[in-house]
Amino acid sequence: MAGESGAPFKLRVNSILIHLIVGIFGSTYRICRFEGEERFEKLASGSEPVILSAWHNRIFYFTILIRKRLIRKGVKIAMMSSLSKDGEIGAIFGRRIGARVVRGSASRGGTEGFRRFYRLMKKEGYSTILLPDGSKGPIYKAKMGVAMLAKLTGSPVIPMSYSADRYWRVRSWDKLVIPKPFAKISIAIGDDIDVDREVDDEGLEGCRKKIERTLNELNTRASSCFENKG
Amino acid sequence: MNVKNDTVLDVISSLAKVSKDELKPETELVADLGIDSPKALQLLVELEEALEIEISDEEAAKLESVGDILELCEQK
Repeated sequence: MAGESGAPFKLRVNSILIHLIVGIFGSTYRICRFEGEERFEKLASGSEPVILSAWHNRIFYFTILIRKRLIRKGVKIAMMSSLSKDGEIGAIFGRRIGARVVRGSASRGGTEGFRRFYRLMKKEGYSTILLPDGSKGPIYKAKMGVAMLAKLTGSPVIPMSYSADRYWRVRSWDKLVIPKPFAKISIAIGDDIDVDREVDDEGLEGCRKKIERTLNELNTRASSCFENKG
Repeated sequence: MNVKNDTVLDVISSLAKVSKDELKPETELVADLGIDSPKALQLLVELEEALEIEISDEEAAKLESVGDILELCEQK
């Protein structure tokens, strides 16, 4: 795993640029609605490792929120970044905001990555950010990894989404949502999703579907206060 | 068969939903038992817990068959 200092110059420059953009944009956003804020604020105590889960295209703003409300308050957060070149940028950026970065994805190095998450959660009390449709999609289709990690760690999945009144959509597989400067943000945090350790394959598939369904419902709930449907 | 091997086969058979009799050293984890990435995570966690051992990422990456797992766990 290459550290930031060992990364190629161009990647380091890109990650610094992203960091700057996120910082500048982030300072202009205004939260106009925060459903489930009480639950989210409880996470700041850092006493319970959880699996923060959002669709891949919602990562931009959640990076800002999680950094501001959790990492800066001392909550230990781990995130996964794929083994691709884009993933390297994500990894450098993740480290810059204070997250512990685990390299891997469902398609490459997935088992290894999830095992590191498992150890970080069980032995070091880390919470994790996981994007169930990452790292290559299909968009809004949850893979099994999040449900399996919840089953093995006993930690709840906290489903999250947000929408903005004005935003750009990146032409990537996930149609990344980037709120425009001074955008109003509507956040929706769902109820905890617990996965029993003894659940069988059928039950685990039910949990995977529940995560998928809940995240899609939260997309709708978050965007319901705006005319557009981000 | 010793207790450790028996425990390994219990874990694999329970996870792959096949009887222990069907598990041979040459049985392949992916091709024969359909152990995908999430199942592999479960398998490794359950083996570590059941045998109170630690399996490194390097060791895990080399596991392709039931025989590989038996051999590795025997060494622990």
